Amino acid sequence: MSLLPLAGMFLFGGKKKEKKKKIEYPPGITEELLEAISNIVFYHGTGLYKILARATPEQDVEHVKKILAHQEGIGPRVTEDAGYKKIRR
Amino acid sequence: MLATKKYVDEVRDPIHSAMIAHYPLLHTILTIAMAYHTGTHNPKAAKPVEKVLNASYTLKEDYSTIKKNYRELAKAIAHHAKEQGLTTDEENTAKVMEQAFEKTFKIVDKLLPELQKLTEDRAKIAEKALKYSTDDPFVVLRNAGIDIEPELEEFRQFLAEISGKEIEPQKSTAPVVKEVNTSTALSQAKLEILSILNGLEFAGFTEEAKRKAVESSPRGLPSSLRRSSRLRTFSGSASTPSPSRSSGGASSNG
Repeated sequence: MSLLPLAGMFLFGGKKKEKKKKIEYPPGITEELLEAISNIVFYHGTGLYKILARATPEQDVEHVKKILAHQEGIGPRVTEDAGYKKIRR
Repeated sequence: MLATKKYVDEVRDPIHSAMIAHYPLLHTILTIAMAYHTGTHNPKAAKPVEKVLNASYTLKEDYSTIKKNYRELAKAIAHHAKEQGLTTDEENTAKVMEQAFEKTFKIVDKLLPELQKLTEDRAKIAEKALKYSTDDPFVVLRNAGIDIEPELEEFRQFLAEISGKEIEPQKSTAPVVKEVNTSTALSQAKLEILSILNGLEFAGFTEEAKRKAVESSPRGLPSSLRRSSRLRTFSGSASTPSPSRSSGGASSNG
């Protein structure tokens, strides 16, 4: 390992911290709100199934789980694998 | 590994996750609609919806923008559904998905308002209601004063309609009304003729006079009334001794 990348790490190490601080939240958006939103996006499960089941003719939670490909202990595979969670700008 | 990567992604870019706050809700509700519309009750129904939401994400469209452009999105979903062999009638699917969007918005608005109106408390209520560990989301919502049941019931009716699980109410009511009308008309005619017969009986008229009265009744004697035992004695029984008369009477009465 040459010294050049090591020198780079020292040089730009401080800059990374600045970047994190510089995140500007749009008006009305707080860190707590973002945390709750993040939980909605990444950790939904039984509650969502039960709401959706109430909106189906059979009102069967197991049927909703089947449509959304439920994974035990994780949640619906349909949203877990969704591209809109992985695409990076 | 995948989960860790996603988690890290989310931490690095919180604005990104705020923009897609409503995406999983839209995705799952529209998937249910697509499943019932196409009869594909498995994750394949989710793909056309996901493709369109991925495109929306790339175009930086949040929930409020999606609400404005939903007609175009419905067409795009229908196009992908046809490509994947879920539907053959793209136009019809687009119309159904348009309706599905309208009904989905009603549910999502109640669960998670648009970002501009979304407060921390409201987001936390939705978080708790949708959580993996929540067994009764309706209690969570009710405690927060949110009644989502009318919107869910409306969606349920919509799914029943698009999957053909319920008979249209208009078709079933129309013939019933007609039947009531005909039956009342018949009973009126029946009453009229029976009252004439009773009158003649009390006045001491002969059987021949009663038969003639039935035949010359202004309303005639409809075929369904001939089944009545009382009337049969005057119209039907008269046909046995002299068939020529009764046939003549029947034809004259129509």
